[in-house]
Amino acid sequence: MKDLNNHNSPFINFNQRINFKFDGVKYYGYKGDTIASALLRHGTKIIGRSFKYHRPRGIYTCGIEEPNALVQIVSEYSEPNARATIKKIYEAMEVESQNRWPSLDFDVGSINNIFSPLFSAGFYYKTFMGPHKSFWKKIYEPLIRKAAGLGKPPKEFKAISSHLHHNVDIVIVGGGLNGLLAASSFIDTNYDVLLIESDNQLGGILNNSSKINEIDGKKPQDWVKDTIENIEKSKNIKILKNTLLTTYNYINHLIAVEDKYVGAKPAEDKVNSTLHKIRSDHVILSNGHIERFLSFQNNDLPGIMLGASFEKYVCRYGVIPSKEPVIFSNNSNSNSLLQSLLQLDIKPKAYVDSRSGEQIESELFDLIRKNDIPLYTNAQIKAAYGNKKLEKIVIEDSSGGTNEIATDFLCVSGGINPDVHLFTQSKGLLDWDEKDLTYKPSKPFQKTINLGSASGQFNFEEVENEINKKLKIFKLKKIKVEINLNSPSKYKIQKLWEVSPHKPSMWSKSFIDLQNDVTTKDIRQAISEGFDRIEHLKRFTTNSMGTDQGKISSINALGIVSDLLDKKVNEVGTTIYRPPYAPLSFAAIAGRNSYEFYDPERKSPIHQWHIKNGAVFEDVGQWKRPWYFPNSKSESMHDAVQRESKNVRENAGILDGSTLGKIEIKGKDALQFMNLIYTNSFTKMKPGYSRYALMLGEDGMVKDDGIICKISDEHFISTTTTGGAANVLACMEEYAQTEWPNLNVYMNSITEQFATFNISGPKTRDIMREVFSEIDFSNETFPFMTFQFHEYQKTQIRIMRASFTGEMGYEIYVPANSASKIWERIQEVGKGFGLIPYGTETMHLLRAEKGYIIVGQDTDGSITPIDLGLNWMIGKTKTDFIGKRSLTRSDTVRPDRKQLVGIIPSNKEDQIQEGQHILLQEAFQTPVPMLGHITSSYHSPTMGHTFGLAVIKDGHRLIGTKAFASTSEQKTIPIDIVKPIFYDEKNERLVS
Amino acid sequence: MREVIRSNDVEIKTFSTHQIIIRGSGNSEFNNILNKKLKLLPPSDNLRIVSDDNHILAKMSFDQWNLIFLNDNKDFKVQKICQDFNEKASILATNFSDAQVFFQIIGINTFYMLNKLTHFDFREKNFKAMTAAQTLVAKIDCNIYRLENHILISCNRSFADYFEDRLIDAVNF
Amino acid sequence: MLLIDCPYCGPRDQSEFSNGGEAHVKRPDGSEEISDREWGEYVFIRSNPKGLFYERWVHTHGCRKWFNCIRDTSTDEILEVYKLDDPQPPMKKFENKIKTPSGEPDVGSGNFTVKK
Repeated sequence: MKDLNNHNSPFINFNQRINFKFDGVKYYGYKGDTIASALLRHGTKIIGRSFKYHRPRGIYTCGIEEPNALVQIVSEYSEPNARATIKKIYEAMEVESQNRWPSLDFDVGSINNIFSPLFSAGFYYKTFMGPHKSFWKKIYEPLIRKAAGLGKPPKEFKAISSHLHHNVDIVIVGGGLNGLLAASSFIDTNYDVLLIESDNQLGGILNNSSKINEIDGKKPQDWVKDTIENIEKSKNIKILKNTLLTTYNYINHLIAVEDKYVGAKPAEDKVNSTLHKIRSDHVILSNGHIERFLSFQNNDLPGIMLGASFEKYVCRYGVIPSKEPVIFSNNSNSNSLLQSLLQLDIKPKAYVDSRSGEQIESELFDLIRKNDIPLYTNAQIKAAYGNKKLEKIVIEDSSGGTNEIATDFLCVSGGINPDVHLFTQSKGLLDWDEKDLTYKPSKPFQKTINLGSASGQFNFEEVENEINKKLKIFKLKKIKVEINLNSPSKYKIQKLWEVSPHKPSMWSKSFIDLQNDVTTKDIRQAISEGFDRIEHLKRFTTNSMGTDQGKISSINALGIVSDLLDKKVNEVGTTIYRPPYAPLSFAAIAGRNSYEFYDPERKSPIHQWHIKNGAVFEDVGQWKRPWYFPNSKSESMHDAVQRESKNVRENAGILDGSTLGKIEIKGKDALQFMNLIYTNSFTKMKPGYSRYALMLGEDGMVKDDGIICKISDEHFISTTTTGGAANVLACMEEYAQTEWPNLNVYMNSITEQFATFNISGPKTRDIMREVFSEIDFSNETFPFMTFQFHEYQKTQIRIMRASFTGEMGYEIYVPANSASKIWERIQEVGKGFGLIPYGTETMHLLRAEKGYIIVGQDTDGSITPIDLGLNWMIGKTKTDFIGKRSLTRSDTVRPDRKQLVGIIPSNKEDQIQEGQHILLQEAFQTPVPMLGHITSSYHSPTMGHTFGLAVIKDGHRLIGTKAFASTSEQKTIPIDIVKPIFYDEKNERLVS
Repeated sequence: MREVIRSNDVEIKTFSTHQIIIRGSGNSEFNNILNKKLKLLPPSDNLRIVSDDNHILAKMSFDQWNLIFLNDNKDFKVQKICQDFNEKASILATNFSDAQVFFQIIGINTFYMLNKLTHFDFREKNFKAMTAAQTLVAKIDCNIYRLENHILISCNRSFADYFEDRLIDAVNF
Repeated sequence: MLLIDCPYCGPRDQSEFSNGGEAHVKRPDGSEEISDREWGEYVFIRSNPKGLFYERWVHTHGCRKWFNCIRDTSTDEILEVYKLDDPQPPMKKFENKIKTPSGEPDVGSGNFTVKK
């Protein structure tokens, strides 16, 4: 085999061989190689099969724009769709080709190519319609799912990624010639600068081509080295290499992904990639340009490559993909390719230029003549042929005459486009340049500066001027740079989008989007079918979709469409470029906010005690709450809850209620404020008393409930539900600040300051008397719904006589640091009285027996206090409170609202199921009339059967009647609708 | 103080201490109590910190001051200061001594490590020494106090384990 | 991700804030003289313009203070931030500054080059 190495490339270490596998076959490359450059070293042409027609495809480009050479990295959790053109190889790397079965060489799916009429534009929408509706779900969809998609999703996903935020003044995107010059001008200034480069080498065009001979009198590589050295010395500039900017959001918020393992196997226990989230004052886009291709028959054959990419392989990667390629171009950018080849004594087989002899630069003309290279001017490549890879091309001249040339390689250039993706993500406006035939940035929307070819400025002689002009706002020292060129300084191009759409054979296709297998014929068809708006055309044909987003071809499509519609390209417009610039992995997006850090966890001050005592935990918002305490490994949840509930009713139980929200409210106008926030009136309430209260939204619906303690007219303490704590505080603050700023009132959350123990049951008073021996717990001095402050073991505690279980009980508020000590003391004393700890499930059961609602379970934001039968809680004499006026709106006073009732099964052995429908007839039929549903249901150990709470239309009137409840088996069971209270209706136990 | 981690040029210690959250209009009544009790003059600028050997007093907003006691204090003494403030109807002083945990972070990589967890701009020009801020760190609400040579972060005690794990993770990864 | 200039804490990331909808909507007091319609409009009806909008925000994960701003809903630009007790600034001064972002053409979704 011929030696395809260019040993002059300084970026490849030819002394360090690296072995890897491609489709199970051993290959080697050198340190610095990408998968693509290593395979090209071996003359490998086919690297994948295409998406739709399964045509063989090769390496088309040398960078992020690659449409074809996507591979699966087996050795990295089988990461799919890695671009072979940027992914660097490492020892023992395993790579597989995609979209082929059973093998790359012989692919069954390629039969699609023969049936290609079936797969033309819009085929999804047309082909899979008949003969019956069920065909889609049963036949077409599974088939399409199997065949569609690029690559296979990885089976496991463990890559570690982290996030890093930056706040800077300037971000420079792209470390090429302009990026380096811009960065240099910020050296030792007061600006914080971040220079982001996607490659592992800074230098861009200076590394990738031989366009520049000397810069400031130095060879390009030396200049790059010196420049980087100077930049690195400057403390205000940070360089991020191997970092791809994917997203440009509003207010210069950028997202970039850094690959931490370039040319090395990612370590399993280290960060593989970092997602940088950057906020900057200004963004300088110097991210260069992308070469575009040209459409002709079979322009997808392996062996066809973009001209600038070919040159990049030669210069940057030290590999010569072919020693006698044909060059086909319509512009001056390909001149340097010829230069690079001639420097290595490689003579192209032919140079085909669509421009006339007069238009071609004289330097190029002379060079071609001097080296005796066959030159075809005014000529185009009409078609390429070959069995699985390029074998010959057909050249057509202006008179229609054709020439066939046998060749295994073709370099194509259709011109260059500024890489405007990021600029348009930033909402900048583009404008079509008729001379350079491309969209260029015109009006920035944010503080964005475009430099160099990214701004559409393709002339190296203008570089110094442009930078000095555009960076003037920063008041920097002006730069001076002298660039000595190898190739012509001015960029010239002749219009050419597609050569002869004529189709010589069934197999022949002229592609406009290589990744999605969209042909120019599809574009024509879409337009003839009326999809002539560019966004419609994109969706109908899938042109410029996929992982490459048509980076080398979307402008060509616009050109073709503008010709077909006889409109200016500016009138056709472009489709909008959305983030990300290139795909990024979910691991990078998730960062460390996954697994154990997915959501913050909150723990009560006595969490450790719960763990020690075998609690099973339940997530309540972010809180970990004991759900139940099984007494042995074999005890089921049902048994534990029945036992706990029974014990509370017979002896006593204690619940860790520390998660309940607690808010301290104080101010001269606190009383007035509380009267406005809650439905109840607190005016006549005596200090030292507490009251169950409801909070509504302005729509009159119940938002939260809790107990309010009145210390004085100026000082209150509210409790809230666990889940509502943040919202209630936020609501109070909102009204205090926005609606009633005239009221003098302040509020602080004291949820975290105090642990709360809810102790209840007939033996509670005995336990309390023994633990807090100095306090008088008699009904006379400590009646129901009062509270007292006490000193206990040198801390201040608050005890409130209240209960959520229906048994007599207390809520004990203790400073969190003393919580464990006091909790353990109560357990110790309580043991002798049969006290047990219980969890949230038992709490739910006991409160439901008593008919106490849980906001959010028995209410759902459409329930008023009247619907709950809690009319007594509404302060009748108050002129205003949040939601008051809504309680008399026509909708809230209509009789058939859903109202809270209790239900019990008529046959006691039937199980009432939470969430099921209430029906008025026995038959179960769909659709179920939406009369209401069961909001809570439990099995009561006291009653010996299940019971429930439900909201039913006109429920209050239906109390005392019979109805039916649906079951998960789609049957019904008869139920009795009763008052929503099942236990101690007279509250005798509560106040005993 | 308990050492959480010392690695990668960051040293993190955790502790709990007495703290009072004072709310009010910041009028002379408020200044008088503060002056009499602690001999401190409250900062007038928002987000500024004043401190002496025993206290950090930070103005967190136009109606909120966080008073942190650095050295061991008796519970009752702090409670007494709270009560003195609360005697005024238009001031709310909440004893917050049990509500939060503190993390003291020292080292040249402090801000680099924290920027893995928060978007907050720690640059000297935007977050000067002896200023405070309230922001999100690792998705939870935190107070950050930038003192002369180190920073203090406080978060609610229920998050303490989670937050400590996140800090360790940020130092290690 | 917006950068919002809290009048008390300075510019902070949007993730610290919560949006409070339209500003300067006066709450009628709870008196019965207010008609169902009038009250219903207060509770349920807000304007939703494309362009300049008086809007409320709260610095939820910061100082917890409410403030108002003028935001251009078509570009997300926050043109002025002001405290609750500051006078309502006139929109007029921004009317000439309204920019439409690209992607807002007469036809199609992203055909922004058409609009000029």
